[in-house]
Amino acid sequence: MKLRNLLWGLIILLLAFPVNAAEDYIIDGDEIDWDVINEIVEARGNVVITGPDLQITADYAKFKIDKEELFVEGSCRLEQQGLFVQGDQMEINLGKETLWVQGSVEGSYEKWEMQGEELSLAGDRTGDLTGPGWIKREGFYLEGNNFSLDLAGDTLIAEEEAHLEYEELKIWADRIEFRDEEFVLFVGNVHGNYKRMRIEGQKVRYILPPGEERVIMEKGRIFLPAGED
Amino acid sequence: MKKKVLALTVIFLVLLGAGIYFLFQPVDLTPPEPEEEIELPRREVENFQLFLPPQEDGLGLELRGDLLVESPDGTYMDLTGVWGEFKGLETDGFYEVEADLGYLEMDPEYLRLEENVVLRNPLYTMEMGFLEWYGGDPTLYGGGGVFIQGEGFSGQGEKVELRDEMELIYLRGDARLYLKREGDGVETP
Repeated sequence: MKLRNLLWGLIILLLAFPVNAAEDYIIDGDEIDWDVINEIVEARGNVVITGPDLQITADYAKFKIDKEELFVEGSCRLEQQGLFVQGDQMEINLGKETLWVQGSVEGSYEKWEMQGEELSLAGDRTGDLTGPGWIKREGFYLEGNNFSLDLAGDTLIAEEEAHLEYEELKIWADRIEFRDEEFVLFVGNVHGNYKRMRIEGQKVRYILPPGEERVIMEKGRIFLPAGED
Repeated sequence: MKKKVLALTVIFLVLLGAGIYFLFQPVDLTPPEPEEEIELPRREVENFQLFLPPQEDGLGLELRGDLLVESPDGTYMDLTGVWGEFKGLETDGFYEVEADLGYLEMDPEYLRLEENVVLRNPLYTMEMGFLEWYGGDPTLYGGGGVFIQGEGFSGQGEKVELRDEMELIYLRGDARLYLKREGDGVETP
């Protein structure tokens, strides 16, 4: 009797959640205009697009079905496999898994949070963030005008008025390259503090692995506080 | 002389009595009975067939059905068990329609289909609560809950407008469209 109940339960569950449902795109909106021949869908008002591991909300959306190109505008929010992004406009190629966001961009990917004016990301989570912006996680804050990102590989490069606050480092430079658990490289007009020491130079490397932490002055000087060696 | 006075007095009293009598008669305030409507016979045609030729930039209509009942003045018709086709100037037989009930005005042309309305073309099948068409208009208007089903897609909404010989579908009110994904891409009609 229990086995029969279990089987019925399984059948009902399978009927309620078709296997391929998650693979389809669902477009919701107050209005949907669909050009069947040219394969273009336009949606307006409370737009929600749901796809494989994907949800996008916006005020307006235009979807070119054959190219799997999606343009959304107005209070756009995207959630996809650990990635959350919001902005004023987005272009998403669902086939190539590329994303472009513009206007008051905010986002997060796993442990990283970011803010800027324009963000482009590929499916492997590499890309660029431009405009005055920042990237942070707990105990880490990197600021700059242009960023190259590898969020999955935990590698970040900030350029133009770059600034890093991490552990006991508080450094400004023209370019800051951060490779998690490896090193931070500061290049051009480097100045700031490490612990209580003042650092100035053109190229400074900070080695990260625990137990190996050290500053390597490739082109620069360290100023010790008076009375210390 | 006395006789004259007497006669005048009698006449006066008779007139006075008649005046008082009519003055105190009850007044009938009930409205007059309406004239009975005369129901004119309505012409009935079983297994009817109608053809409204397509106009430039508009659709035409070829309609068949079980029963057509024409109004006495010939301005409208009630239809039952309707099926047929919308036709464009250069298209023929692509847009089938059927419904349980219909209402058709001839001048200007206006058609409203209700109850189990189904519209079919090679791209999709659409079910709706009602369908309206204004003669000479290339657009069809559906409402009362719309469901669309085609190869690789389905959709729904409260209302729909079908334009450009039904290749443009405008869903309105809690609209939803499902696009089936096949392999690496979206399956298209």
